Amino acid sequence: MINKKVCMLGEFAVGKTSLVVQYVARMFSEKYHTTLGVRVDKKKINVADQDMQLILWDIHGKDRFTTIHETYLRGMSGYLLVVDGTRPETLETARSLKAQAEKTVGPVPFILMLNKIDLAVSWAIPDEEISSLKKKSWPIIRTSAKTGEGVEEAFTALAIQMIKK
Amino acid sequence: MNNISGRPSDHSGLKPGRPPSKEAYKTLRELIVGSDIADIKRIHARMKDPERRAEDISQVLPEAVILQTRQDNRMVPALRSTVEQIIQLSVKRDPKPLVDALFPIIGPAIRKSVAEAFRQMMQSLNTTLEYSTSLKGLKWRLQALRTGKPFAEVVLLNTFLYRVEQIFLIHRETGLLLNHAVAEGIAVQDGDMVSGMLTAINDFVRDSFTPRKTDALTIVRVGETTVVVEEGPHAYLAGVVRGNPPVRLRLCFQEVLEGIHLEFGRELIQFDGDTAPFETAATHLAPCLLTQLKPRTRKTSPLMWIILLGILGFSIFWATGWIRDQMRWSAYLDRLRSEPGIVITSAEKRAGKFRVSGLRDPLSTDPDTLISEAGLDKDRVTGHWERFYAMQPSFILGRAKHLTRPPSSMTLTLKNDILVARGTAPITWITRNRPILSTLPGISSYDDTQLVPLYTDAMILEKARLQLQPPASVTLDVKNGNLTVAGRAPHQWILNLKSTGARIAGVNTVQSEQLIDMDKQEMDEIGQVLKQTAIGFSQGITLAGPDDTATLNKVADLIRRLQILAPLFKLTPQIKIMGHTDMAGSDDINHRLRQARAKKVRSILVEKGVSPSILRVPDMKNQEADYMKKVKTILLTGRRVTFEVNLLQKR
Ligand SMILES: Nc1nc2c(ncn2[C@@H]2O[C@H](COP(=O)(O)OP(=O)(O)O)[C@@H](O)[C@H]2O)c(=O)[nH]1
Ligand SMILES: [Mg+2]
Repeated sequence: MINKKVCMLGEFAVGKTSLVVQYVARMFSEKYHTTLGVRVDKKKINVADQDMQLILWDIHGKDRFTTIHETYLRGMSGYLLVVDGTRPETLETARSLKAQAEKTVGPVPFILMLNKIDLAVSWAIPDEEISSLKKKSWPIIRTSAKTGEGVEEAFTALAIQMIKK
Repeated sequence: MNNISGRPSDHSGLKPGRPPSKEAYKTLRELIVGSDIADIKRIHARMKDPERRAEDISQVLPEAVILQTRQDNRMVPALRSTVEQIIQLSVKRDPKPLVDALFPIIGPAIRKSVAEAFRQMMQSLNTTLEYSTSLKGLKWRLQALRTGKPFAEVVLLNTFLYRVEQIFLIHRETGLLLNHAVAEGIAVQDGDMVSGMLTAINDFVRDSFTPRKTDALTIVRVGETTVVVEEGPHAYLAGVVRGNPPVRLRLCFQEVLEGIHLEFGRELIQFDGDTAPFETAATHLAPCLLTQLKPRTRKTSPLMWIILLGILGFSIFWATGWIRDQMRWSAYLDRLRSEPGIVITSAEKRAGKFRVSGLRDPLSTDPDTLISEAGLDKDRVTGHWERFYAMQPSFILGRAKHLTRPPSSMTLTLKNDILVARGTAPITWITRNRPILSTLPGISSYDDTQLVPLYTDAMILEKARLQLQPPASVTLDVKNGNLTVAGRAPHQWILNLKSTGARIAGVNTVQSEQLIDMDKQEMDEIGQVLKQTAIGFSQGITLAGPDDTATLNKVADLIRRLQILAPLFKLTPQIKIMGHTDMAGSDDINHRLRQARAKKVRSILVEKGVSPSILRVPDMKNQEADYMKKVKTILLTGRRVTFEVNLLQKR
């Protein structure tokens, strides 16, 4: 069995925990206990005729200034960078988190999750911003932990990338 | 070398008869090899020159070593002894360079090992303290003395009842689970998630609380469960232990980790999430699934001992059965001989059965009860006993008691053939048993003079009736020997009661407060009646009418009765007869009339049998006025005679 350590990275309240819960248990709830330090979940998948297990580390930050300990990132094979589409500043946080991740483990596969697309009314990230990231060939998938849209897709995409590598 | 030296000799042996010309050879060689000859010469020269060869090898040596290490590990054993010698030599010459090189490693290594030793010591110390004062502790102290082990070690051996339920082999960098060993019958948690969480917690604690990166989480304790973590460079082990983790678990973990790093060192470094290469690591983990179930092993051994002892005892029992029976038989006979009232005439043992016959007093101890007391089987012993009366004092006394069943308030003793009874006994017992005891065989006489008889209340009452002959108006009652007399009785009877009542056998006290003296009562009544009686007169000394004559007759009767009663009380009656007149007429005439009326009554009374000596006629001259004052409201007429009674002590 192939196991891969995958980290959920993103600012406080962007929906990391919600996404993991949606992915693993197909559930959504408005209220979650704020994760203490870390929460580890597991999902078995089959990509490209290959059975594998994603070990999902949902790292919890209390606010945008909380730094992530390097030890959490160490040994990860990929990560999901989560951004809250209704809060543009979370994209900035994602950028710096990506830099930190690369510094610690090198260039490993990642997926940018533009989360909360169900809140289209208060969507606040301009399209130009997104296309500029696409130009830098960032893999971007729009998701909603609430409706489940794009969630499975994002995780699978990451798994495929990790296998290819 | 051998081959090379052999070949030219074979070659020369092939064609011995054709010596070739040296010139021809040279030409041929030049033709074939040509200009390479110079090269070969150069190589030849180079091979022979050690300096140049060293130079050549030095150029390829590093690559050669790398290549070799990649292929297999033959290099290491090949170089080992040389390297060892080099180190030894280097240290011998000047240890300083090596010391300098090792210094940065030795410091932390020592620190870590000291810290580890300390923690292990604390662990054992805690349990030692817990058990040092208990009863168990005492037992272990003895065990320590016996085996020569330190007490702490004995405590460790005994206390840890634990079970290592699961062991996780976790990749250190990724926190991914490499392998997982589970003890039998344990419900398995999701090892992948557990190992991730453990790693995360481990990292978290290390990052948050400990300054030095080398320190790692080693024990997490939650209630009954302890997670023991032992770290290696690339992987660590986490053991889930129920109960107190033993110290040797840590040693086991360390050994396993060393083994795993040795075997999977490369795989651990190159780990990319594929756990397949680590499947065989399970065999390393299994030995650390330690379990200690102390009480069970301890329990079986006493049982074994009991069984063994049982078998041994049984065989001894059979082997010594005959001797034992013989000894018991003779002990039984000895016992019978010493038993009073039993005389053995013959005893024998036949075909495993015992037979005894003799004489036996009915009061002696039953020989059958002594059989089992002696440890013999009742079915194997038969006794034939003739009755006889033993004459030992104890038997005579026993027989006396058996026959008469004396009450506990008395004792029977036998001295010089005289049977003496002392204490108290019911009179019925005394009278019934006197003839029995005085004729008992073996005694010369029976003495019960010191035996105080006891009567029942009914018996006492019966006796009191007989002796006192109470009149019908009297009731007798006896309670606890106390005689109570109530009712009415003649004076004479009462006197008799007082003098003899207490002497009736069995009577303790006589109570007669409620007893009324009939004679005394009558005497008092007569006095009262006389005082209130008046005899009416018509004018002069003629009685007023037939009523008055009847009254006077009655007065005579009463006084005569008084004459009989008073002496009973040692008294003499004195009756004053007082004449009265109405207020008419002169004082003088009235005075004379009063005297005349009194005298008339007196003479009639004497006539009727009253003793004249007790009758007085006082001179009513002075008293009259006072009297009239007193009675005028009662009496309408003053023409009458009245009486006054006095009882005088007889001299
Ligand atoms: N509407 C909507 N709400 C979301 C979505 N994802 C997360 N949330 C809400 O955002 C809040 C923060 O989510 P949480 O998963 O705790 O964020 P975390 O701090 O990144 O783990 C919670 O109230 C979630 O219910 C989403 O896709 N749509
Ligand atoms: Mg969260």
